[in-house]
Amino acid sequence: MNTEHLTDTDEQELATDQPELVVQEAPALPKQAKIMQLVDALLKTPQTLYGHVQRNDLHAYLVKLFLIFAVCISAYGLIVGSFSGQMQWFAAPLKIFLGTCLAALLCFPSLYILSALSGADLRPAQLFGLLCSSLALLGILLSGFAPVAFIFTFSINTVSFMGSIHLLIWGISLYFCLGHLANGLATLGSGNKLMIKIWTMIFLITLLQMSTTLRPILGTSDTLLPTEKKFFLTHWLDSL
Amino acid sequence: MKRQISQIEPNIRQLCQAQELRDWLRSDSGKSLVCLLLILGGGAIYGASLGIWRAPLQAVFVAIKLPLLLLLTALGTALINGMLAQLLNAPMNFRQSLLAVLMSFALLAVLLASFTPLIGFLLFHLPPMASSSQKDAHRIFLLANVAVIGFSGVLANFQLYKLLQQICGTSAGRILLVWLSMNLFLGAQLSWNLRPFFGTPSLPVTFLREDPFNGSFYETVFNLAKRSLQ
Repeated sequence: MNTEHLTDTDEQELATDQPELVVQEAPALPKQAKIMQLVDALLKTPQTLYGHVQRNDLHAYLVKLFLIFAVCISAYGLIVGSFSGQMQWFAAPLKIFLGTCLAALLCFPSLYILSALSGADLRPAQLFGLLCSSLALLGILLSGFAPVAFIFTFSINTVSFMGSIHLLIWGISLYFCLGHLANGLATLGSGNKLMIKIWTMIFLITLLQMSTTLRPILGTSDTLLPTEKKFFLTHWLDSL
Repeated sequence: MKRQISQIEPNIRQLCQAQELRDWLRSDSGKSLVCLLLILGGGAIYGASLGIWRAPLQAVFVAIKLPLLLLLTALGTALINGMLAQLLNAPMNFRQSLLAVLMSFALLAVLLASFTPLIGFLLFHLPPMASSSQKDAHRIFLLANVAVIGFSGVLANFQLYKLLQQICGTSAGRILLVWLSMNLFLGAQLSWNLRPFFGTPSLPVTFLREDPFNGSFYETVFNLAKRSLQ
């Protein structure tokens, strides 16, 4: 029987090399960075933002990032609302904005734990900054798709087909948004991609369910919110 | 105690990283208390979300019982787990093996608590307890929670395995297997004694079932199997 216990000497012998965290050198943003500088950084040099997350000073830009997200996603929401018009002009942007925020908040605790399990040593505030920057990128991409969606809105008559177009647009935008988040985590020490993939699935399911919870976003209804609770798959089958 | 509470967030991050946990094992310095706080806090938060669908009182009961279940399982198997670890050549004493199990339970409690907002979101969509489709709702709620508990359990044990690998090398798998077997063996019985957790819709809300120490989990499973074969 081995009666020796874990000691400092064992520690030295058993110590494995911890990979040192290196964020590629990227120019830091000025303290009073303009909105367009942040948009540029999100699209062209995400390493800049990862660097700020690592130094835990992204909070200086948090309001602006959130503003980018809110304005862009609301602009996209207006295009979604234009399909049905009337009350949806203001209901759709509001629901899309609030729904995305709520889904992100609901999934934030699990993101924190799963990212820590994947090896990223980030404080909640740092992770929140990274998530905000990902949401800002989502908003930018969605607003980029707005003209495309606008053209389809005037050509398509059925809700289900228009819904599919919006799902495609969201799918592409989320691919890059979640890619930004995953790359950020990988840069900041996350070694296990599986954890982030699992969280991505959780977030996507929550978003899809949120779109059903807050329906109608695209079509029309007598009430602002649904009176009947449904799971998103059931709702989709019913809509087809 | 106050210091431990203020340090809870960095401790959660360390708990998620096996590399840091070796330091916890080497010099305890209040880490048992941190694990205890996390088990109590995380278990209570998730426990409340388990019971709330049945009734608010059930939520209070399960918020007490779930951390209790985790703690009693860890303490009940502490002695045998420590012995088995030493038999399998793990360089750990009793205190360290108990702390290792407590760490994995604390991580489990934290993981479960992190999924509580999502369970709340699911609850929002379920038909209420008083509705005609309460059985469907109960089934869906059960299945979702089994998935969450299963997933969290796998992650917590995987983390424990990584820690054991650093300390015990090749015998880590065997040690984890015997610890897991012991914890499941006692945990299943304790969860039987402490039931109900989810709260069957047709039964009244109670802290424990009538005569909770009459019978065992294994006896029930055996009788069920026997009846289905007859």
